[in-house]
Amino acid sequence: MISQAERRDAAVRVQGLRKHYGAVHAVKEVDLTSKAGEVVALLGPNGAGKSTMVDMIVGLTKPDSGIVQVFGLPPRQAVLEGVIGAMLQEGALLDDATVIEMVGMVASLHKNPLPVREALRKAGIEDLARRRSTKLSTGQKQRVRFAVALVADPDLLLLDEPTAGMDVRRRREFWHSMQEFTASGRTVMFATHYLEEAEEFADRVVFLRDGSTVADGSVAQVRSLAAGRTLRATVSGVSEPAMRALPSVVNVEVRQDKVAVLSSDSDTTLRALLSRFQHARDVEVVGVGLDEAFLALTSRTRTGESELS
Amino acid sequence: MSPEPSCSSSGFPALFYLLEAVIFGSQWPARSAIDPGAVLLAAMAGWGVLISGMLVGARVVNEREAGWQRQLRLTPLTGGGYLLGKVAVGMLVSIPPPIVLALAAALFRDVRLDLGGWLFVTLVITLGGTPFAILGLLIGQFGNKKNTQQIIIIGMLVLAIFGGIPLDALPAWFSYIGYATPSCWLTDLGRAGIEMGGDPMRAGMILLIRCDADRRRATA
Repeated sequence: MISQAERRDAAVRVQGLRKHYGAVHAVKEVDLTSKAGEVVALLGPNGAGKSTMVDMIVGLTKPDSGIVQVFGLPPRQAVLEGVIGAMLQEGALLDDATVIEMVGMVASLHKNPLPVREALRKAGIEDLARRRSTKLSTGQKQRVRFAVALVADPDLLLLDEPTAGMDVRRRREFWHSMQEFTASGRTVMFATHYLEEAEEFADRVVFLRDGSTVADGSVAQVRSLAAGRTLRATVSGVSEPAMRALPSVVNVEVRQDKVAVLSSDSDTTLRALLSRFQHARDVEVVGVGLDEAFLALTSRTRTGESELS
Repeated sequence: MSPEPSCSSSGFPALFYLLEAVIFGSQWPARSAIDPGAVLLAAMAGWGVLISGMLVGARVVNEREAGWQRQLRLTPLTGGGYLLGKVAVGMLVSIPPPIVLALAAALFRDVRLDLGGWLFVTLVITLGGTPFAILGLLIGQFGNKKNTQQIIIIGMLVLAIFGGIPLDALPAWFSYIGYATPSCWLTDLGRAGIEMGGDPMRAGMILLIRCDADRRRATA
C-alpha cells in the first residue's frame, strides 16, 4: 500500500520511452507524467503504441531506452508491492477454471489482497463466481479481468481496451463500477480508441499516434474538438489569413483556390464564409474524424497532411 | 495451478497392467522365482508416473497461450516460483496412478510385497518421476498448443520403450540406449521394490542429476 503522502506524487512517470520490434517503432520518445488520483486516457487508433505503453508501464515489456516509474518505483518493484493492478487485452483467463478460482488464485499471490468476494462485488460479478470462463460472454470476461486486476487492491489501475467488445449499455455499466475505484482517489490509466469513452470518463486525454504523443490535453479541449467539423469549399482568390479570420476556426489549409477549414462551430463559420465570400462554391461540411480532431489540437506542431486532395 | 488428477490418467496404467499381466503371464517361465505380476507392477508404475508428470506440459502450454502466464507476471509470483509450482502439480498428479496400480496388483493378481516394496512401487517411484514433470514443463514452455500433445506422446513412447517398460526382453543394444533415458532408472527404482536387483541409490542419483539438468534448461 502507498501512503497518503506518496499518493500525492506522480503515479506514473515515463521519460524518453522507446520500444521497437524489428523495424517497427512501436513507441518513440514518449514522456508522460500522471498525478495520483487522475484518470488518464491513452487514446489512439490501432497500432498507435497504446498496448506497448501499457506493457512497459506494468513491466511486462522492457523498453529499449527511457525510464518508467510507478509511484517512484520501477515497474517490477511496484508489482511486488501490489501497487499496480492491470487488465490486459484479450485472453488472460483459464479455460478450465471458475471465476472465483481464478480471482482467488491471483489474490493468494498478492501481499495485501482484497477479500475475493469483495473484488467480485466491485466488478459486479458476484453472481458469476462459480461459472467457468468458457461459459462467459465477452463483456463478462472483461469484468472478470477487472476483478483479477482489482483483487490486488492496487493504487494504480492500468486497463488495456477495457470495454472492447462490449455494447454501449455494458460499457456504461463497466465504467460505473470503475467509479467506485476512482472515487477513493486512486489512479487509473486506460487505453482506448473510443473518443466518447475518453471524453466521458477521463480527466485527461493523451493522444498517441505512430508511437508518439501528438496531443495531451484536458477533457474540455477534447470535447470542443469532438464537436468540430471540416468545411471544404472552392473560393477563387482566397488567402489563408482571410480564412483564419473567420469565427470558430481552428485550422486552415489552402491549396490554390481550394480550402479546408477545421471549425469548432461549423454553423457560425459557414455563415461567415458564405457572407464574406459569396462566390464560394462546392461547399461541403463533414464531421471530424478522431485523427483530424487531434491534428487540430496539435496544429502548431503538425499541420494537416490530407486536408486537401 | 489446481491439480486435476483425472480418472483416465490414474486408471489407465492399472487397466493396461491387468491386460499385460494376462498376456505375459502365460509366457512366463513356470519355474521363475519372480512373480510376473510384480515385475509388470514396477514397470507400469513407472509408466503411470511418467505420463502424469509429462502431461503437466499440456497444462503449461494452455496457460501460456491463454495469456494467463502474462497475468501471473503481474503478481509477486516469480518465474521460478511458477515453474516450481508446476513441478509440484506434476508430482501431485503422479501420486494416484501407482497407488491405483498397486491396488489392482494386490486385488486381482495376488501380488504380495513387504511394506518397503509397496512404498517403492508407489511413493518412491512418484518421487522418481520428478524429472518427467520438469521435462513436461520444458515441453510446455517451448511447444505450442498444436504440437505439444504430439511431442508429449512421442516423447512418452520413446521413454517408455527405452526405459524397459513394459519388459526388458529386448535386444542388448536397446538397453544400452536405455541407460541414457531417465525412464530406465525410474523402472529400476520400481524393481528395487520387488527385489529384482535394481539399485535404488544409483537409480535415485541418476534421476536427481537428470532432474537438475532439466531444471536448468527449463529456467534458462
